[in-house]
Amino acid sequence: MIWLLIASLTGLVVLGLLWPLAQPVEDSRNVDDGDFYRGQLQEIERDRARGLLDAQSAEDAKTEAARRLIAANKNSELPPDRQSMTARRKIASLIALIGVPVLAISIYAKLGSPMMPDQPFAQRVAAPDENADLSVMVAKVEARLTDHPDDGLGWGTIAPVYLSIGRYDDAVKAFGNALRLVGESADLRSGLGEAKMAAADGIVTADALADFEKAFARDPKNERAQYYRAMAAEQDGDKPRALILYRALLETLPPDSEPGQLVTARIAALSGEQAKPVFDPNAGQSAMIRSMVERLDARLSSDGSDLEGWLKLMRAYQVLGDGQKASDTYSKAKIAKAADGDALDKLSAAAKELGIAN
Amino acid sequence: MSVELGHFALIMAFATALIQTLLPMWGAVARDPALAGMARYSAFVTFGLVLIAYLALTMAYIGSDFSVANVAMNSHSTKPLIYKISGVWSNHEGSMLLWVMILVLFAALVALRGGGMPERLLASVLSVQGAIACAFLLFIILTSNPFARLSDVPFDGQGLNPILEDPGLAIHPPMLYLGYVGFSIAFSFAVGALVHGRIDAVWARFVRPWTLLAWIFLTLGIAMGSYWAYYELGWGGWWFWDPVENASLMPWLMGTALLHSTVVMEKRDALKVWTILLSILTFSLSLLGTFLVRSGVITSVHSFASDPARGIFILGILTLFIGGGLALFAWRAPSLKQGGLFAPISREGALVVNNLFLATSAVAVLVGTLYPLVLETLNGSKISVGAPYFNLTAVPLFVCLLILVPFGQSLAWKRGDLVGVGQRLLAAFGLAIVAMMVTFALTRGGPVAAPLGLGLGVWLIAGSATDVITRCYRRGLHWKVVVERAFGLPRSAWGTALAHAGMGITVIGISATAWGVESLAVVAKHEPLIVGPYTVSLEQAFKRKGEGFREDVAQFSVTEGAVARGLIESSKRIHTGREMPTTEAGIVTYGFGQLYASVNEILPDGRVSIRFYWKPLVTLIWGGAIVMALGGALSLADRRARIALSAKNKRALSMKAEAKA
Repeated sequence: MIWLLIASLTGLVVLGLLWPLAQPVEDSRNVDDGDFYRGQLQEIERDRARGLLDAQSAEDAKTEAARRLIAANKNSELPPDRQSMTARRKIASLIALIGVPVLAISIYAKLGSPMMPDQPFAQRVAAPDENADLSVMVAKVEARLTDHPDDGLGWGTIAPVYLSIGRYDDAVKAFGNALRLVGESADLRSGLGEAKMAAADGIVTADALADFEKAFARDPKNERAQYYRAMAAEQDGDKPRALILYRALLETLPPDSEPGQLVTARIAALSGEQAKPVFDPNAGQSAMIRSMVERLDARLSSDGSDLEGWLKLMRAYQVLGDGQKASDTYSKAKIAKAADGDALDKLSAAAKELGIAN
Repeated sequence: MSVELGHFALIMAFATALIQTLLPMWGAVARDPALAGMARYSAFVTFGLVLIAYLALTMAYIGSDFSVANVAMNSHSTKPLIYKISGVWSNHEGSMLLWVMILVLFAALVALRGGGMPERLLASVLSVQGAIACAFLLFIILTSNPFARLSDVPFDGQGLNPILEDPGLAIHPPMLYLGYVGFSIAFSFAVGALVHGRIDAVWARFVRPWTLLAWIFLTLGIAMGSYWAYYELGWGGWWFWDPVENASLMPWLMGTALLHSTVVMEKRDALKVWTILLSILTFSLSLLGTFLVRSGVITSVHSFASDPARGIFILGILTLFIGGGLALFAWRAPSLKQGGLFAPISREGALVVNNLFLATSAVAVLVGTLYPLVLETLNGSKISVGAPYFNLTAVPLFVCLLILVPFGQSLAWKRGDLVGVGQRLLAAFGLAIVAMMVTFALTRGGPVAAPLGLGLGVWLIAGSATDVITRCYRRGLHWKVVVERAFGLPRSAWGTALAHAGMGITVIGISATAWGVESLAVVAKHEPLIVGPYTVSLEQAFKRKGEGFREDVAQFSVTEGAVARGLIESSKRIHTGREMPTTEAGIVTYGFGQLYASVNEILPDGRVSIRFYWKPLVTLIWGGAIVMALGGALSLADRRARIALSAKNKRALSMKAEAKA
């Protein structure tokens, strides 16, 4: 596409440059200085007729202009030499036809980024493409966090993303920051545990387990805490306890959902005596995040009083690349908090910052 | 796509500018009309390409495309649209692109209107213009590329320096550039003439409108910059002899001289070599201005691009064009045919005096601007040459020149009658003296210079009026005839009178600053403070949030005697984008004077530390500049200058055809 545009532009430019060479010589203008002085004579006459010059000074001026006219005629140029003109035209055409495109394209090839599309802000933020370059989004949030390191929600948003793209150490830090700034929460705590576990190549270390226990103590329904407590038991070889914990989790999950299937598979594996404590970030994690986001959405739809929840949901959809849902969430939140001016300010500020269209 | 297409168009423009430089010059030298004819088309093509590049960058700014490094560094997604557009030239790269765009625009205009110009002159002029474009395009592409992309696209841009987020910024640089770059046309014409080996009234006729146009824009640009500094920087001053201000004043002085010498050349076929030299020098000073501002060699609010590589590159361009131009001048000027001699007491003689004064004052300003730089390079010592130097050198020169202006304006061409002129100007002189006496009497004990300056201003205005009046009024003429004659006067005569009167208005405004009053105080609520004829008192101090900033506002009521004259407020602003504080001056205009408030600090106990100025007649400074520009525009609109050859040329050609038939 870009090369097509470049080619068309080059074509037009070369055409424009060659155009005058294609004109027959006879047509080229033939103006000499004499015209100027003849014009000046007429002008003096006009001024005299309008009474701006008296007869004497008009006569003087005319004499001077006439003298210059004669001098100009003496100087008039020799006619051009026809034979060498054809040769010169050929050289000039070649330079315009080959030199210009070659020079321009070779410099551009060195300096340009022809493969890089435009990335206007609105399009970049609202792009609803899940396979879009995740790193672009990460970079966006990171840039923000560099400027605003105290943005706990920002850390909370980017942490699961770090986790899903395999930047486990960063994820540990981000969850830690979010916990410090936002305060204790089961989701963040279990996220921290998961990040630590992932950083330890999928082993639920004692450190990670402590986080899951804390999250579980805070919210016994937290799926991630439940799941990894079970996995910890499984990795410790405590099969019965693992099965109990997995089954307890399965009861709260719809069996045909992704997490449900994951747990079912684990139970089946354990029952079939095939211990396979493998951590697979790509299968489980993002599905887990999505299901969490969806549940937050459902909760807020039934009870819209939680401002932090709305803000978090807007962020989450935006980071997941679902601009439409983020924008829907913003609209819903505005309706839910219509009575609360302060909350509306916060919402619109967040929307602006995230670039959510209204 | 558009960003990359813009980048490509910019590079392509370099290639076509190269064509524009080489082939038409070859054509002009070899007397080949076909090659010379390429000049016009390549000028159009180059302009089109630079325009595409410029629009592409503007689109990137409007769409906040932060994958473009320049946009990411200088814009922000939440900025108002107007500042997104003006943000394009608020930074080094973008403003250089604007510079080049204006350059190629002028070339395209010359090509468009050059239909009546001798082919070889047109070809050489456009070729030189192409060479300048080439140099600056290469500069942009290699050292200041506005189309550089970022692979790690930041979430949002870094925003604009809040001091620059202002309507003044939106207009000031383009105006100034139109002026600076406009003088490149005069330069190209001069070099073209030197290459050509011929220079005459035809040349002057073609170069004058362009010089005038550039001069008008430069006048407005300088006035705008001065007013912007006045209200935005919060010091209440309107001219600081800052190197960057001098950088725009020098081409203005030289350009004013050029404007006057082309008139002599057009009318009398004299002062030819001098005019050529002035053309080269005027543009050289414009380039020097660009160098001073863009290289960051001087520390000032304007030097936001401090990059040695760029400085050296621009220095190279400077050397090439100034050195090349002057070398060509030294080589070819002796072979140019000198113009005729003329009597010293005549209009042309007066214009020579004008030229000497203007050129000398430009040199005085140049020395004051460059001396600290040279000294610093030599022994590393930093000194600053400030107002005292300029007040002792340039200002007396200006004053002498201005005293002489009405004489020159009233002298006749060829052989003037100084006694007669003196008699005609007697009334104007009397008026100036009376104005001086009256102001002396009214402002007893005040500064001495102010009434003198006021008298000078009145002298200029009255002198201009005298010139117009004596041209159309004679005792015994019916008033209808007088009006008819007034309408019949060439517009350039009106333009001259208006421009000189505008200068007079500015002089009055400048002199009146001596009567300015300053009051610095810490005031509590409702505590009255006397500023000149006004009494201000603090009404309230409060905090306010605006778009992109928060501010502490101090609001005062103004009374004159017992009459309430409204409110005035000044604030300390913190811009949230960059956490940068600025002072927003409060300005209220009463008549031609202004009351100016600048808050220093709002103290915790609610008292306000504030500075007030009463500046009588201060708006006349800029008003005069606008009148000057109007005078220039009127002169530009002069039928005789405007139609140049095009209309007459057709007639002449048809006459030729008839003669053949």
